[in-house]
Amino acid sequence: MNEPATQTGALGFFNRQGADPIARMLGLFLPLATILLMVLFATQSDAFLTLANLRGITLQSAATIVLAVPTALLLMSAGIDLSIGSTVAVAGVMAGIFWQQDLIWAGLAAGLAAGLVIGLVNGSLVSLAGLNPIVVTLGTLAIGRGIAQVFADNPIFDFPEPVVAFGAGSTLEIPNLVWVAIVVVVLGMIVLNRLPYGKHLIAVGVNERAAYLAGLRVKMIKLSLYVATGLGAAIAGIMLAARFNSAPGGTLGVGTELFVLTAVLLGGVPFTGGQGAIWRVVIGVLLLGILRNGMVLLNFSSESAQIVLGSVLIIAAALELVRQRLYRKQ
Amino acid sequence: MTTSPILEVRQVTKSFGAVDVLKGIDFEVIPGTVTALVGDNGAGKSTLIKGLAGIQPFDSGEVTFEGVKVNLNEPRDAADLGIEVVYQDLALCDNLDIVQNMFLGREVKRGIPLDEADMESRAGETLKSLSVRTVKSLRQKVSSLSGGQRQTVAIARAVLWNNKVVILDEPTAALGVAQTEQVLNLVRRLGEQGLGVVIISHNLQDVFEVADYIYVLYLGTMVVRLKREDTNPSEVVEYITGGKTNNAGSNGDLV
Ligand SMILES: Nc1ncnc2c1ncn2[C@@H]1O[C@H](COP(=O)(O)OP(=O)(O)OP(=O)(O)O)[C@@H](O)[C@H]1O
Ligand SMILES: [Mg+2]
Repeated sequence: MNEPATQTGALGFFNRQGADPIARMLGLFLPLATILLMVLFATQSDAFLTLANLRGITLQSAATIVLAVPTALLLMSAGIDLSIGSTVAVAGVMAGIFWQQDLIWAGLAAGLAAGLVIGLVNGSLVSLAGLNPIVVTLGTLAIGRGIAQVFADNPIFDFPEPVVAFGAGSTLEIPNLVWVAIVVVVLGMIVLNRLPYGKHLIAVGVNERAAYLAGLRVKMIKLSLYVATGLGAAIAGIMLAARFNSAPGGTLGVGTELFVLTAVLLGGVPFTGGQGAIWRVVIGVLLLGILRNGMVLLNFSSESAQIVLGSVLIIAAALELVRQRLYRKQ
Repeated sequence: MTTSPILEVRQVTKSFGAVDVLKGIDFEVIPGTVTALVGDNGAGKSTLIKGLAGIQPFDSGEVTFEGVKVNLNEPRDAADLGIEVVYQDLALCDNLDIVQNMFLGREVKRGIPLDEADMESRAGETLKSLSVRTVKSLRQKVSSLSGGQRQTVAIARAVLWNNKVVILDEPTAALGVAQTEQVLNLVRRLGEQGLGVVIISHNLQDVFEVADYIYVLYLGTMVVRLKREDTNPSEVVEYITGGKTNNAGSNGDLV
């Protein structure tokens, strides 16, 4: 590729954005905080810095990353999807029902179809009907959980061998689920940095009216992003069901939305949209994963872990606010 | 000597509830010329433009582009034809840089991925062809630009994709003297490059500086179309304020 005239080069928008000092500071803050946290836990627990434990953290984070990437894109366009935790359950349960009948591919298709349908419902209500996304997806959060519980009336578990082997196995020393996450991250980066669609969704987040006047199909862009979070949640649900060899409709994915939104916010995507980078979101997920893992190792009760997680969300929001203030002062 | 119009509007109307804002307007744009659209506040200038931009479709009437009847129901329709509108409040994306704003919705690709290098060099060439030398970096966010520079980016965006008609709604309203002069130069150059240019302005000095034709809209009716060299500011003011009406018909024809 030719080097263009100005210094910043053809790196893609978000690398370029890293050129502004505050974004760069935040870019450093995140890895630093992650390392600090790791050092802290390593000194407190011998079990933390073991290969098995670090592998466990990555494995646990894999499904979250699959959720976080489309959620980050949606947030960059100034949308929000609170229903993902329930979509995880609906997709896992739908896949599980077929898997119990030894129908592997049908299970996969049913899980994905569930995510697609929920995404289309959310997207149409928000983008075409113009309803408030928080209200709509809070509604589908409740509806989805209800549906998952209805279908999971009888326990859904004991899946076919290939499904279990995929969920628990590794390829080239890397867990299969982590491979899925890697693919999703790479896709997310390509979409955001290399395709017009990436610029378009940012434009929608920055100034929806300007995006519309520039001739962008704003409604289609928004709709497609809700479909993306629906599909991401479905894949995550399928991954979790395979890993646990069961699909408990009442608990699968509960609270995931809080975890994912915290990670995405920590990763520097403001709820007001218009900016963000995939790699930072991934670090945000890993940071939270490490935090959660360390709290388990240090025998935090699940209640106090919950309190810490909620506090981190608020702190992340506060950091973001400070960043915006500083940015505006520039 | 006359070239045939690239954009022709016939008897368009637009009402908001009981209010008839456009009462059967005729309007045309000739390539290679600058046409000014003037009229008092609320005369319907922006409404006419919004109809042409596809934001607020007309209720009735006909628009032809290069001799073909067209439907303008969405901004995309106008963009596809090559009609570009620079809005009064400059619809730019603050958080995006100059290149991204200029190419928004019309990105250059190399196969499937974006071609950032090509977009950057074409943005640079376009700005240079418009003799714009005041921006430091093409990768500056537009939020860091002055009013005049923002206006420049919005206009350059209009030139970039071989647009055929460029419509500017009060491009100089928020600008200082020097910046106004720059933008007017830019407007003139667009005309010289063969585009059909429409400019809305309340400032008759600006209008007389750049326009070849002047249309006057009065309370939703096109009262007259004047050739700049055949008229003068005080006559235009009379038409604008309704002090003078055109007896030759609803649409003043050129003498
Ligand atoms: N969406 C709308 N709903 C109701 N009335 C409207 C709407 N848009 C414009 N109008 C009315 O139509 C009339 C013409 O408005 P328009 O904006 O076209 O005027 P203008 O000539 O551009 O004025 P200005 O010089 O102030 O920009 C005004 O009386 C305005 O109040
Ligand atoms: Mg107006």
